Amino acid sequence: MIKRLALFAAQRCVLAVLVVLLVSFMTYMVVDVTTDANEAIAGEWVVISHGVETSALSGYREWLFHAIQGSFGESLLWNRSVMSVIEQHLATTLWLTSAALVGALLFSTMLVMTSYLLSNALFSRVLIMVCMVFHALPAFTLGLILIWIFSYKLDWLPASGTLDWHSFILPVLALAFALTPRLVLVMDVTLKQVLSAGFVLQLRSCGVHGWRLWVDHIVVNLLPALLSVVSIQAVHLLTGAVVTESVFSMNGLGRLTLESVVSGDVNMIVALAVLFAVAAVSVDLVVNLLIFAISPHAETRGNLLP
Amino acid sequence: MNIMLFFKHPIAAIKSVSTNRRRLLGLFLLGLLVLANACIDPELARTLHLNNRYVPPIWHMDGQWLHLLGTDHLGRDVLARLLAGAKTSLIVGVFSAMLATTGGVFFGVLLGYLGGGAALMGRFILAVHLAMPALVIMLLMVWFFGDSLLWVVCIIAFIHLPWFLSISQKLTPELIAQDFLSAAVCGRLSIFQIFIREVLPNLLPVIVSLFALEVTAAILTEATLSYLGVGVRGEAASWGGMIADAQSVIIFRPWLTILPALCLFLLSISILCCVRPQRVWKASAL
Amino acid sequence: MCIAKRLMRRSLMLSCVLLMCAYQAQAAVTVRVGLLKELTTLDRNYATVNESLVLSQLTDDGLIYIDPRTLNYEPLLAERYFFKSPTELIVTIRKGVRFHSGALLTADDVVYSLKWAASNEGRTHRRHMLQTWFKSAHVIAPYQVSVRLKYDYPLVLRDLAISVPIRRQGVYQQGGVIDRGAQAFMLDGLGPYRITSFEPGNRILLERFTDYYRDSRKYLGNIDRFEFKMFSNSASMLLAVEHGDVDWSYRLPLDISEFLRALQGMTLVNGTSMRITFLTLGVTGNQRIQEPVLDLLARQAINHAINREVLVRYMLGTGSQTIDAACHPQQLGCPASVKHYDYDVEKARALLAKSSWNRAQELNVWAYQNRHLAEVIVADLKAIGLNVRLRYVSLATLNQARIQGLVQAYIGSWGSGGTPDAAAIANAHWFMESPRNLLNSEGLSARVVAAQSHSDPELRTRQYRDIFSDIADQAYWVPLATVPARYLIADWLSFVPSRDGIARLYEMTDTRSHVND
Repeated sequence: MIKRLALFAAQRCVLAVLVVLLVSFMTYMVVDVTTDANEAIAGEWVVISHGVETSALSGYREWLFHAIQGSFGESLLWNRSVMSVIEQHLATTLWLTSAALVGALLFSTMLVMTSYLLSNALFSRVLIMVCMVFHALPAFTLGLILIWIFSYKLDWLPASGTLDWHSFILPVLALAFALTPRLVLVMDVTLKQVLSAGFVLQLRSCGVHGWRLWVDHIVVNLLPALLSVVSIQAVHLLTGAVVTESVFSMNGLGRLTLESVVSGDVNMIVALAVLFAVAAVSVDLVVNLLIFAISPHAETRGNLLP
Repeated sequence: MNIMLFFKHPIAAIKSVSTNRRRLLGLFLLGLLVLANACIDPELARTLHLNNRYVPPIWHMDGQWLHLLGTDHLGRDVLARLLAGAKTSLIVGVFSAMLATTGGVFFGVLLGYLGGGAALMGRFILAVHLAMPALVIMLLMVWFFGDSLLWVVCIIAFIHLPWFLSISQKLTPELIAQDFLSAAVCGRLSIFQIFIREVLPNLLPVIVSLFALEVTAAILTEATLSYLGVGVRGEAASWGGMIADAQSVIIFRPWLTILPALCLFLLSISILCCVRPQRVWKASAL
Repeated sequence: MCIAKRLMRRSLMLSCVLLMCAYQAQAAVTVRVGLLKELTTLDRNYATVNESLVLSQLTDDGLIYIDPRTLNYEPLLAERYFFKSPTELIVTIRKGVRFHSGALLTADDVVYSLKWAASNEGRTHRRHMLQTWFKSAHVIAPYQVSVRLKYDYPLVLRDLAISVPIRRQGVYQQGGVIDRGAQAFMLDGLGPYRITSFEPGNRILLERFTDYYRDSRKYLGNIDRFEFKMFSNSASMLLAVEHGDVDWSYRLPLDISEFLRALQGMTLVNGTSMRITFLTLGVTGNQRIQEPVLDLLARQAINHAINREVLVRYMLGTGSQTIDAACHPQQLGCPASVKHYDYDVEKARALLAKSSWNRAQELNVWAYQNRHLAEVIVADLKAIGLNVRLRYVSLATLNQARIQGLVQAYIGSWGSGGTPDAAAIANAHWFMESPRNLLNSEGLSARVVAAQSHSDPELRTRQYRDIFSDIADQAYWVPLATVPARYLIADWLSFVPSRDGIARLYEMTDTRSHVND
């Protein structure tokens, strides 16, 4: 079992590295095209590969060489090394995204379990409708509405900045609300599928009820689908983070991305893209390993890596 | 609405739509939007009236009948701008969804048919697409190529294409396996004819539901891009841009933020209403 | 028993009162300053925004000081100074002045700071202007520095006052490696306040520097601490103001001013400044610009196309007035009348038709502040048939785009550091080397240098009149209007806006406090 897991893990790692490399290459090419780094007057601009580059490919090779050693160059805007700027902004985004993910998972689990326990068709339909409503609202609108209600009308919470934990509440809520609908819908569908599966009826007729049924059998079958959805949501999480941080003016990686793109800060853009890719791929890797560990024969639908 | 029914018996299909209240509502809202857009003079959305800035909507004390929903920070009529924004959203939503669907389905079916290594490549493309920070790429491309509608449509379609590709690629093999068998037995239809006659019609219901979802997603993506300042902004109206402009005065002029947000919401809902929700969510869980 | 109880009660009350008095005496007065710009560096050498000047007034001292009441130059870090010749300034440095880190100020520090600020290696944001007049600086005696100028520059004292913050020798070269960001996050200055914490783009905490030298000319109020809060949009700042979290702010947009006026406990005060706003146009013949630029007729058309009265009335507010010359009317040398372009859309269209500008060509107009103003200007330009695109970016992006030669036109504003002299705006914009120059004319650059090479006010006035008349005739700019200063001050704060528009926050006093300095 361990050997199979290790083999599986090794396969996945190799694929993950390939994906990250490809992402870095594509981002570098796009950035190179769109920011005309080659035309900058030498001396005033720190060109991307610590020297004057002759072509995009050679520039990429140099960039890769330095990147493997951990140096992503100097940021044009901040006049400092890219890694130090990212370090400063990392904590905020980590807190925001992890809290939002946890929140979204909690919300959706609660909602779906309530719907199941109540077994009320009306409640189910209302839940689906409410989820549709929230799905139709973009993340920034949710954020603005929350600001208006809680910061202005009720004056309970601050609207911007990252001064203390109070200022995290609204952004986390906004991002969690943006993620919940899809989670609820997928959980609902999957739960219905599993519950109506043949093996559940069989177990029930054998006398397995309640907690045992759930913990030993149902959850184990639910988890693979849920986990793969979570890994896909991790990608949406990053997009949501960019928007949420802009709405709430938080000093995180999301807003840093936006500012770097708008300012043409080449080194920063590529470094951030690679960072996001690495994050997405690692989350997926972990999720796949978990799925494999729980049930090696599970169907991994909607998976990140083939 | 059953697509195949529409092709074979159009009248019966339209009748089936009219019996469903929810779909009717959705279509009605959309129709109203298109009609209103056609009636309003586009110049209204662009003319500045600096002496009439920030006029509140009609239900406020200081509201004016000339500007039913008030004016914005440069004195432009809000209602006209909302409708112009609707035009932007609809154009971007529909066209990019069409592009993404056509391209994605075509390549997906192709890869599904080829099978083997091609299938693996298809899945790898999807993996890269998911790992790539789509927003970063979108921001870069829109910032560089310009904020014209054409480019925004193309870029959003390009980013969303792999999704259709992967779904059609997953569904194709099962369909082909069955049909090849029957074709091999009958030996009368070519591969292309099999595609058109058998594979596509079975694929269509799912694709149509996803199309609606995609239109909504494209509309929301466009709104997000223009909210972030990277996209259709300024004179060409876009709801996201309007919300961004109004954010600094949200406290005492909340209508400037709420109205575009409401429009975004209504448009998305009315599009989603036109398809069966269960099918939509089932498909998106793929 | 009763006596004991009474005694105990009385002593308890007394100790309470004593504690309260002690508490009052120790209660630190913090003024929370709200800023609408996000500062990412503490170092004045590497920032040009006015907000960094306001911060620098608290944390840095220069050799010279501009007295806000008289606008005269007084020695600050310098004990005294005199001109040995028109091109040599001898400065005697004060003894016993300490940096925030505790090190003593020496003449070597002054020479290092001057050289660094003007050097190419330093890449400071004001080096172009300093390089035009700065020749060299030497230590001639312990605590004496000789500053040599290339010519008799009339604003040398002003530049020494606000453009050259004094830093410790060698601070930008740590371990042999040049580090321009050395003072970006931890500032070792000489001013009356020192930085205790800095979150870039978020918050800066400052506290009174207890070892600040007593002979300083800076008139200090009684504020113990400052907290600079940076907001990315006016809505968040307004919320904070309503919450009572901001005590002082300035450079407020007109949109929210009306609502600020209605606030309890805060007063909106108008003040004067030397700030003007303008549209700079790229000129044909400028090799540096890579994009198509406008010829004379097109530039004149643009001048006729923009409705300045409307801008002043609706976008800039009271205290603002339209200008025709590319300088503030209060500045020495700024001519009272130059060629006036009246608002005439038909004339503008006719001129544009005759010009060689291709109407289908896209004209990118760049702006970095006051977006609404930029949108109105762009709308005016579109009304005469130009294909205009507004590029609203951050100042850093605009700087880079200018260097790359991508900027065909931009909307700028210049406060001249509050200096009532036309040289302060002319040299920044018309020098050959200046990044803000979209003209690139040797002739005009030489004339600007000539006008600041001597101190004869009458001759200088004549020279500037010729320069600005030519600028207006050739329509290199579209001068728009003066920008009034607007301050939001809490009622318990006493703050007197200075005539030059530079906010000297160290002068603020808390009128509630019984503790006097």
